[in-house]
Amino acid sequence: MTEAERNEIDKLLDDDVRQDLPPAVEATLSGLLDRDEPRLVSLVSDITPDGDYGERWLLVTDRRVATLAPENGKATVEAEIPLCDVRQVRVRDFVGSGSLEIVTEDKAVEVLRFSRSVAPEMQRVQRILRHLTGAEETGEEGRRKGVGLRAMRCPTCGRALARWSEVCPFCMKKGQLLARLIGYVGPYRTIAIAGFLLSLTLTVLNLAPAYVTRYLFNGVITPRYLPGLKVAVMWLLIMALLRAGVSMIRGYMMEWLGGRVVLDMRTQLYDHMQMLSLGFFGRKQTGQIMSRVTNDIMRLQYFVAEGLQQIIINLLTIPVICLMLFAANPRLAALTLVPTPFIAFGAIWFGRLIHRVYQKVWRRYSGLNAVLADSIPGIRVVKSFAQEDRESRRFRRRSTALFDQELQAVKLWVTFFPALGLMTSIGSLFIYGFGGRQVILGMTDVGTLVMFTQLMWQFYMPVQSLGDMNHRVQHALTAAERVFEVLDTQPEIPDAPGSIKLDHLEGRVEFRHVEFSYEPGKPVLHDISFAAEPGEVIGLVGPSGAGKTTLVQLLSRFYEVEEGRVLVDGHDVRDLSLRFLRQQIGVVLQEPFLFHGTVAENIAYGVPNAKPQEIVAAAKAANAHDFIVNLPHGYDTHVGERGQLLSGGERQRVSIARAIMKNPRILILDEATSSVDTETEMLIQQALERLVANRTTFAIAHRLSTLRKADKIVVLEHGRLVEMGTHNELLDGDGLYGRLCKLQSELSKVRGV
Amino acid sequence: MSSEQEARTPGAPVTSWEAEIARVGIVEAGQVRLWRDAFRRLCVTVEGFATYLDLRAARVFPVSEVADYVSFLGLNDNEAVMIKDTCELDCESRRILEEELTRAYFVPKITHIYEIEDAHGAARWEVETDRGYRLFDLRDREDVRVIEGTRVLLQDADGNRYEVPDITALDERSRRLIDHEI
Repeated sequence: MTEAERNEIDKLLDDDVRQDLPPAVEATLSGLLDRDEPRLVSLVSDITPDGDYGERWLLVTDRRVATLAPENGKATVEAEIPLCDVRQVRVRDFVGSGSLEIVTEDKAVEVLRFSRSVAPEMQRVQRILRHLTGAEETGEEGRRKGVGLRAMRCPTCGRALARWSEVCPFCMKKGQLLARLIGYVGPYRTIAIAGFLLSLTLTVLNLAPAYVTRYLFNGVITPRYLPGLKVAVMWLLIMALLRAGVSMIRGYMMEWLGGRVVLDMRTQLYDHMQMLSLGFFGRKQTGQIMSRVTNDIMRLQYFVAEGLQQIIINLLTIPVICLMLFAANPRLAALTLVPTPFIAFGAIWFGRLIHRVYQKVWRRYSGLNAVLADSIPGIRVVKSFAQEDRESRRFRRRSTALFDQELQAVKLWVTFFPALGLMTSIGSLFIYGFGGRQVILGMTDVGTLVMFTQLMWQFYMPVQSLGDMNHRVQHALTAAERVFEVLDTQPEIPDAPGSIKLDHLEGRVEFRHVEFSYEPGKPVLHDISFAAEPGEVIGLVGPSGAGKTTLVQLLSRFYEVEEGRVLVDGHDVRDLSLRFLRQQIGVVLQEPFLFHGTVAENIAYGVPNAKPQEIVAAAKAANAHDFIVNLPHGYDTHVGERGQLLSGGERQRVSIARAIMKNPRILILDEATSSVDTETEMLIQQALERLVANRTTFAIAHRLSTLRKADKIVVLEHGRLVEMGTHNELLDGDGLYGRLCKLQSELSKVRGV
Repeated sequence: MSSEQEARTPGAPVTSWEAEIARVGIVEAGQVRLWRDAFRRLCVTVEGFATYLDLRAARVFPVSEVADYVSFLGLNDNEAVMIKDTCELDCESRRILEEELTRAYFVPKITHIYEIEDAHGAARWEVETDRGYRLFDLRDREDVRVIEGTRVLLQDADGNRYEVPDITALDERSRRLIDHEI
């Protein structure tokens, strides 16, 4: 074994494949192994040879491979193969499971079966075994798809995290989150405190009339004291007016506060997102990111403005009312509180249930939306296959499912609220029954009785509302956590301190031993080295997935190389100011992306204060001027969402004009002409030739004829540079490029017929 | 049936299309023999026609099972041969096919649900299957697929599969738990 191999093995041998053996296995093993035999791999699998769930231990030493089955405190050796007999190591990937097979001189043994949960470790074991034995590759590798992609798990509890988030709902620290959320209210604390004081005032204004009412009955109505009536009614009127006034002001303040905090968060979130690397956007779906900016933040609005205060006020109101009741009449108060636990538990129970039912309602909603999102953009297909009825049926089915689920929710609502009403009525019956008796017996007065009935209604409300508070808090905190997660993602630094800005860029680009992978262990680019002189056109060719687009993205530093360097004019791109670097690079993509706005705005996207003459010049150079002046509003025509009002070829020419406008030293054409008709392609090709002049250009193309004039063609396959040279040089050879060219010319012959 | 015929344009050359359907080479299982070479690799001999070495078996309709077709694929993922009616295979071939397919589709059937801990989509399931006890995590709702209202397919965070063939056949508690997830 060479030193390099030794190192390679050591790199592969970490804790994941060196698990602690249980005592039973340990005992059996010490009888099996030699005294000085080092254990390299010890790993547990979760499927038995019969295909049941169960433990099987795999052991690799420098002498043998063995599997052990633990059972009732002992372990038996199921398979044992001396390393020197191993010829091939096969790992087979199936749906839901896999197997490890070892091939010797005269037979093959299925050593271990395992579920996908152990599959990544088994890949490692296979590599380790190959290094140890020098076993050959088997060809099985070609059959492997999507292996090793592992779900993100919570580092604390090990649960898999939801695809939409990097937050473990089981482990999130609620206190910290709450504190951070409240921190956003900080700048507006005057308003928040004023609002809170108003809320307290409002609570007092809600409770105080009870005392006036008591006076009304005890001091005015019962003793038939007419002058007192005016006073009492005046007081009640004043309190009602105050209540209306205060709740108006408070309502406005709270809405303002909530809206304002959300505005801040939304802006901060969006600004932060603009700074994040492409990698961030690659990991997440558009809908997911959009939902954070809108839905998650929306959810916080209510919570920040109302929810928090509501909780505090409710928590204060309950004891205050209790105090008032007990001070007025302890026995009656105790009776009034009898239904309270029922109402509280009822509310908690209902909250949990309705939450679940509503989740299902939401799921049905999204099911319905999915049908719409599917069939409306595809309406041409639906119609041309005459499948309107089927689509209607599909929609009706989902729609009915939604209706049924909504009914479930309705059932809960219509049961719970009358039940709650019943509880409250029973409460008032207690008051009338026992209180009335006390009044008649002269133990209490009518005023107190009326006051009790008034307060009782105000008491049950906060009890019920606190009951389902838990869910709302949970929801708000989850939303907050998702938003904070984005905010905590490290942004790209456009102008790092010490980064270089050059006065003038020649446009010399060099890739030097570049290695890159999006995920560890799955290299996308391997040892790429070549240089482009200023003004040269480099054609990048290769099958889909060969790494062409990745390569040019490394030049723009959308991703960072793992090994090696990308040099522009001799400077490592990592040393250059990111903003400067990207200003020097123009990009024309296969699917040009135009923004909502006018043609002129789109052309001048990279140069916001461009002169009209420059815009026209760029459009002319891009062969776009003629069609633009034919548009109803010329350069001021709105292109619609993503430029949909223009044809594909027109969009492409606008995007070329946009690139010309920027006047970059380096140009990237990523399949710029592949999705248009031949005539348009010619127009675009002309435009591109003007664009390419004097600029270092990287052109990715599938249609190889477009690369005939390239100074150099770089052929990539499986992330490796396999050929390089001019069109003619490569055509003469019998490499990949020659083959591809031959195939394409045959194809075009077929088309010609 | 009638709607399918309506879907076809009237006057189209129906016969040639039918000929094309007939030409799809699905071999009767009776003509086929499965065997393993010394290195456990799957091989298929179509009697009187050809022998294919080092294959992998794949069901053509693994979920819906509308037809009992099995495809045998070579190393380059190209189909070598497709067979139908696997019950017609001889005993030994059937045993080998069974061995291959139970490996190719390891989808334990859930017989009882102990607990589902759900938190906004991500969920931890604790279940009993026909293959034994299992604890697994799902990453979101899309990992739960309901087919024809009562059949549920699951894919966990590691890519393992599970199936509930019929939720109405589950016990009361399991049914209540799974009901919240679908």
